[in-house]
Amino acid sequence: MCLIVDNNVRHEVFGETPTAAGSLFKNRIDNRNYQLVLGGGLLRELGEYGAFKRWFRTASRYGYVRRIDDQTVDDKTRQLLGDGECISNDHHVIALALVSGARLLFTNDHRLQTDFTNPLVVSHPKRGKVYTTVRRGKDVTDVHRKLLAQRNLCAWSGCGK
Amino acid sequence: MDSITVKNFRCFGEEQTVPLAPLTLLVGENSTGKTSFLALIQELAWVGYGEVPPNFKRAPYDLGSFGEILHDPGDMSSRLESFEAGFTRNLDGGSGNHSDDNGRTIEFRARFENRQGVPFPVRRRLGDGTNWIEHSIGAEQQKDVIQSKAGDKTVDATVSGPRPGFGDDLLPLSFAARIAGHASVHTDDENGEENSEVEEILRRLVLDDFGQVSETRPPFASAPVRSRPSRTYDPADVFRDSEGEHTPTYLARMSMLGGVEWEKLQNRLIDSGRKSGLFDDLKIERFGDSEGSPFQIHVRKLGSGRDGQFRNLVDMGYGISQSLPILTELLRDDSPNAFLLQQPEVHLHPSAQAALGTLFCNVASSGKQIIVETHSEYIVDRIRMEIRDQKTDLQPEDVSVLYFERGENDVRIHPIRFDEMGNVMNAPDGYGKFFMDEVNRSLGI
Repeated sequence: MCLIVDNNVRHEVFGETPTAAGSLFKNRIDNRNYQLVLGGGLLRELGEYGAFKRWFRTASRYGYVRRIDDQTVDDKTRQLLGDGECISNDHHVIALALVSGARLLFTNDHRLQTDFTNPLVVSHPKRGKVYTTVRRGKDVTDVHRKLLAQRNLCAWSGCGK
Repeated sequence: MDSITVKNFRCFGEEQTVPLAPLTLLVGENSTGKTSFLALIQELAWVGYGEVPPNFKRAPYDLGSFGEILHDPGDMSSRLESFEAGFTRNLDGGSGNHSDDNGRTIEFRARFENRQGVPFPVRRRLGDGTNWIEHSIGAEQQKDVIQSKAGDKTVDATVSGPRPGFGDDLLPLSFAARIAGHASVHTDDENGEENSEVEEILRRLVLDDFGQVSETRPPFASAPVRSRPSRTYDPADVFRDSEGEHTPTYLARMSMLGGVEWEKLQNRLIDSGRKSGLFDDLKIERFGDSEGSPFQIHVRKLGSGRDGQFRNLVDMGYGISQSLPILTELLRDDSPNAFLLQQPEVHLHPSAQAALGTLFCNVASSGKQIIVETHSEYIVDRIRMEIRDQKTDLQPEDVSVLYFERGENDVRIHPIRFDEMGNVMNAPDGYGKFFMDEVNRSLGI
């Protein structure tokens, strides 16, 4: 299945001292339970982070990430900006989800969480779920485990798992 | 070839069929059968080319005798006596000899048994899904058993006794088709039209369809180590050699002939040399006017702090002399239709390895088939990027990565594809695990 990591939690996943919840999230990628989806503005943001860049190069080489065409994501981002439905300023993250089919997002941004779970923004054909360490703490909780155990959370037709 | 089937061959146990693309990359740890797989392709191509008995010691490979080639299941109670291999080829609609080839696939398969220490194909079967012919050697030697199906007619024939003209060699399937054609008269009916129909169907299958596999010449197979450069060469044989021994003489002969052909090849080599950062110019320095005159290969590398003088090949980095045979074979106008390359990246800087990836894309998109055994991430990365950026005419489905993964007693081959973004599709769990562990460790995460 496909998932997205927001720039504001990158240190929890790719930092030298990741949080327990961030490690669990990344562990699912390393074990190929999930595939990280990247492209457009989010890739440019994360690409400024050296540790991520090194990880991304190897991960994309061996199929741990799925790169989405930047132009397609950027076009969708502009469309969302025009729609005016989002309350966050992370249209590029929503756009990536809509274009890629990923419906699980790790973010601690409250407004983005609201957008991502708003059926008017992310719905067809599936609604979005949020993995966060704001309300649920940095440690792994049952909620985290349950979210990562879901097997039907991707709207991408090519999703293998 | 579009797919290869292998069973009980070297480290491959259970039967598996894997796809081949115009550009196929063989990757995986050491000793997982990549070179054996290349050797198998070469021998299958030779069987298709000339219907000659396979020689698994044909350069650049040496798989040993039958005992070394037969798979060892690791269980003494289930000792094996034969291995099988085969290939399929999709026939191009319109481009072949027939207009009705659309969607047809021919399949060749052989079973090999021990004959005086070497593998011999005791059974060969060639079919196109509807018609087929099978030749096998009966339990008693010198007995050829031919079974076939042509249209709605099934024909069996057994020929005993010595085979005039063929000796111990393979009975050509074209000859087997003739036997089947005649047998259809003697055993089924006296209708001459039926006879000619059977023979015509089988002849077309063997000579036209199977013949397309060998429409030019066998593949060029390069060794992982190429011959050492010399300061001065004496003209030698130009017969293709897996270590590139023939390359200097070939280049010298082409330069002596001069004209458009040499100019074209020289320009292609220089272009590849520049793109790979290996050299900026190349020429042959001849000491005499005759074909037998000694000669030298001179190359020039431009750059900051360099005088740009031509220098002898031996005075330049080893990467140039090691890559020159492969570049030359890929860029020759009379190159074969298929290449089997073992670790072409050896001695090359990553930038030159990446440039090789681009060259492979260009050559494969011109209708050639390239199968590369490689450990180079730079080659694989460049190919992914060329697809993503549409810098090549190759489509994602024209590239295949075969990942060789060692199991308990055998090796599995996992086909991996790229999508239009160069993303790696359907990677098995073990693919790249070592590298991910390494990068995670280096990042402390």
